[in-house]
Amino acid sequence: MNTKQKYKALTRDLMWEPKSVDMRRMFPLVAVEGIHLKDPSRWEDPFRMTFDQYVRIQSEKDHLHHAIRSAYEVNYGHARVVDGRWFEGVKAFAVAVQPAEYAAHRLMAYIGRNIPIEAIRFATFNQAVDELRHAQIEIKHYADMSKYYDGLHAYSKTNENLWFNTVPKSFFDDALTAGPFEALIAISFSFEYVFTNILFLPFSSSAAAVGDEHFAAMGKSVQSDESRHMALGMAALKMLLEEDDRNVPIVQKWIDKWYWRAYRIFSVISTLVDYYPRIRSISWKRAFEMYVEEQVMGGLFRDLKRYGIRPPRNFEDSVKEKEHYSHATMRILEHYKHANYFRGFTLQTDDYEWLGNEYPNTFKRYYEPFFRKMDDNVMAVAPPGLPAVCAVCQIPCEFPDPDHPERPWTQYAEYNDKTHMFCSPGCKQIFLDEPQKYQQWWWPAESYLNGEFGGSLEEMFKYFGFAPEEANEYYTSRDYHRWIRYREELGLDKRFDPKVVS
Amino acid sequence: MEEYVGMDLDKNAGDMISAIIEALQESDERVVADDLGVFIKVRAPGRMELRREAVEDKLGRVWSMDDLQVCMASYFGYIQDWDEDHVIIAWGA
Ligand SMILES: [Fe+2]
Ligand SMILES: [Fe+2]
Ligand SMILES: [Zn+2]
Repeated sequence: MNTKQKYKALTRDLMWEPKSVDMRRMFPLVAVEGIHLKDPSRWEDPFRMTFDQYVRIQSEKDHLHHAIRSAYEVNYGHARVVDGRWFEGVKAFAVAVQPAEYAAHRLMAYIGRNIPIEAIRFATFNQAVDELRHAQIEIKHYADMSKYYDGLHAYSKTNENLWFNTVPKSFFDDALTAGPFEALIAISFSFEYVFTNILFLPFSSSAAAVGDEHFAAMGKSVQSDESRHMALGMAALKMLLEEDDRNVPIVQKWIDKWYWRAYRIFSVISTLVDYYPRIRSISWKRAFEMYVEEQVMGGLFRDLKRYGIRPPRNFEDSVKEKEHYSHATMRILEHYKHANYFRGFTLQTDDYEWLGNEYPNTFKRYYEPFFRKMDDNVMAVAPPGLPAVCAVCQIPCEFPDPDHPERPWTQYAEYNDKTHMFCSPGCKQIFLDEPQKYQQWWWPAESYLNGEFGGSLEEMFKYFGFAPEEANEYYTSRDYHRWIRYREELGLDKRFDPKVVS
Repeated sequence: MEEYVGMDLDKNAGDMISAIIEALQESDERVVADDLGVFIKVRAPGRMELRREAVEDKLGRVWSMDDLQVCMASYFGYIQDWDEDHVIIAWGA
């Protein structure tokens, strides 16, 4: 059999018409979102993946990955990176991305369960298994790091309880409580197709540049599944648009919402691109231009015009923010570094130079003064307690208005006698479109004051699963000294010399 | 102006990647390849077709389209057709 015949034989006709149960009772969520389907059976997974093929390809990927991982572990790869602060970035990744992988696995299972289209069910089944694999190989890296460094020893607890984890959690909970088609557009299209490129491509390149071979291999192994995930997103999008014209405005609404939701969760990623690696492969700005502006907006959205689809509502805002995003987010992380298990760090001379060159319009003028003050410890480093966060994306409301960078972008709305606060117009609009949903949002600072985290600061850290010494600034931390000692043991140079490396 | 389609290929795959790029460029001289660290981005205006036989020619051995799944980290455009003989990525239709 050739590929096409095999795909048909192995993925089609797996469903049947139930005789004793009403189809609508078996799939109660198909109709609730107003989506109209005529003949979805003509839809195909563009990869035409079958199960035997899936297992063969994936086991090959795993073998390759674990070979690199073992070599890294036995050779003390962690001590060989050019600057140990990299691992603080990996810890931030552990907060932001690994829970997302696990949640994506649940979400794929949810979508497959609730959409009675064989091709979608098979593609989501594959992806559910992929996402579990991603979560696991990422945790493997933290397990090795945890033998040498702070912060990850109570990973599941931290993952569950850390206030900052509400950022990815709120995103995925939002998708998981939406209907199955919205969830599909949220994850497969907005998250996977529009943004994952920026997550794994520049970050794997940076990992390789700083010498974290394991992380680079992990990133590439994960990313090799992403083409399939992207294909699912694209195919689902096209199917919904082609099945019925009445779907177009519904899909547009989801694109508007989930573009901004996904973009906001990527704020943390922007610091992993621009700040944490001592050697960067590309800037956030350039990555955003290449993957989002050129490939997605220039390519895809020009093509989608024929269906009557326009670019996402707040797309222009994200373009305006591209020269501010990583700096504003790093400033937020610096503000709350006393309460996160990934540390901030004092910028080095070569960091100032790189950031100034890559962001000539914004860094020196708006952000360098802040980081200089942090260096001199002029500023009170830790604002007391936990921040006021956005009622939609749950990131502290400390983004500047890109049109007037000296002013905050923070927005407010009244709903049900309560004032809600948002980081940006994008998040405010999302709230106003579904206020009944978002009024239930959870505010960590409020919970802290209500005693949900325990009665004292010590108890709060216990609840988070790490100690205050595991937070704060990197170059003055015990982790930095540990890293230096490991290098001494291995007879490696102590300090990073940008000229030698590049 | 025609919009670009293309893919990001993992450099780890070594000679397979060079063979894929050569095969693409042989059938369309507008295919450009940019080095992005651990990946190579190949792109072409509007449409790109990769044929198994062309890759086998360059490699000098049998090659399966399944291997593309291991080294294609990302792509842009619609996958219009994917079978054992060829892959077509294009906009429109
Ligand atoms: Fe994933
Ligand atoms: Fe994915
Ligand atoms: Zn927000």
